Amino acid sequence: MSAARWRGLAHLIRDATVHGLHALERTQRAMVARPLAIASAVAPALAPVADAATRIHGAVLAGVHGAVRAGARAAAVVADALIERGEDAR
Amino acid sequence: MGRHLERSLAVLNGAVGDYLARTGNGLATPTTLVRDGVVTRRAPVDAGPRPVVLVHGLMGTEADWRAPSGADLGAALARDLGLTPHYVRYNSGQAIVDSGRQLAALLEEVVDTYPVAVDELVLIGHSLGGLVVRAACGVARADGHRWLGHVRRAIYLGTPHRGAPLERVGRGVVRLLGVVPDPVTRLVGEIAAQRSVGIRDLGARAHPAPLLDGIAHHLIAGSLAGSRWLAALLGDGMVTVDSATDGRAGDDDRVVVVPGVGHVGLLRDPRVYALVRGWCEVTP
Repeated sequence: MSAARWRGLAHLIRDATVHGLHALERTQRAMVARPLAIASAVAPALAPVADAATRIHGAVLAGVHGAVRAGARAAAVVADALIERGEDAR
Repeated sequence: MGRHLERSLAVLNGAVGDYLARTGNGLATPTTLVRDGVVTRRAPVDAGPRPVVLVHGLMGTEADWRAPSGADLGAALARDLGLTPHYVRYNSGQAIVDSGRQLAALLEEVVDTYPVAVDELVLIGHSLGGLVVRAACGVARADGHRWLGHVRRAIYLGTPHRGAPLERVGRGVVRLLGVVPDPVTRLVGEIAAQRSVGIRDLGARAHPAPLLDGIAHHLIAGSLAGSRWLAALLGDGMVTVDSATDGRAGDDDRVVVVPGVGHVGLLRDPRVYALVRGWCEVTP
């Protein structure tokens, strides 16, 4: 396989990971937001707790997904460098 | 390995080829000719005066024209009628008009550098490839390409001239998934919506480029079912008879429905070859 294709594969994996994780993060936020919203509506006293849980969950999600996205971007940069080095060696 | 790699890339291009092209990704397939596994933009030095250009369908490669037995429509036309086959490989996930524009440019280059005077250029497209052929002809007419002057006949195998119902069903499903108030269902809908422009173009009920005057257009449809009504519904399994015949079945001897053959089978069916050969034997 040519270097251009290897590079394309690395970029495709990076883009799929980044976009896929953004979509997954949105989905996970929405999945958690609903039961907490219902709990707040049923028992208004729980609203502050639900709000705090939503914020904590959101922060954890952003941290975990952000770290994986950053890892994917870094891996693509490393892959680019390795492919370039392989091209130079040829 | 090489064949499997090209097949995998063809599927990838068909699925997300517009994205690959837009982002300049090295996995995007450029529009080229392929001869004996080698990518080229020129005819062979020993090419004859009657080239035949074969354009594969969605997620396809030039290998689609070859049956497991080794039979090959292009090679058979070379053997029986002396035509010189040129197999096109392209990114089937990009917009059909883009594929058409690139094919038109490629054919202009091929004809410009052709080793002998071209008597006739025959175009054969399977499925989406037929729509790409139409688009290329439209571009060639608009831009005054020389190659179009050599085209006297175009043959379409299972080409969805009036769109593919499967894609229209897909659109409906995606729309439905988008309105369901459930995050996971919406995620599934979002993923389905990422399919390529090439696939989405297949849902269009009319092709932007008309079938040009001055060219004999031969349409072949496959039909899996025996009964007329079932055949109308199923067509060749992917494209309905009405769409593949552009609604002209039975009106014209250039429009033929071949019973008992599926979408992929059209490429290898001996009855289809007999029709193609018969049309290529006579001057239109």
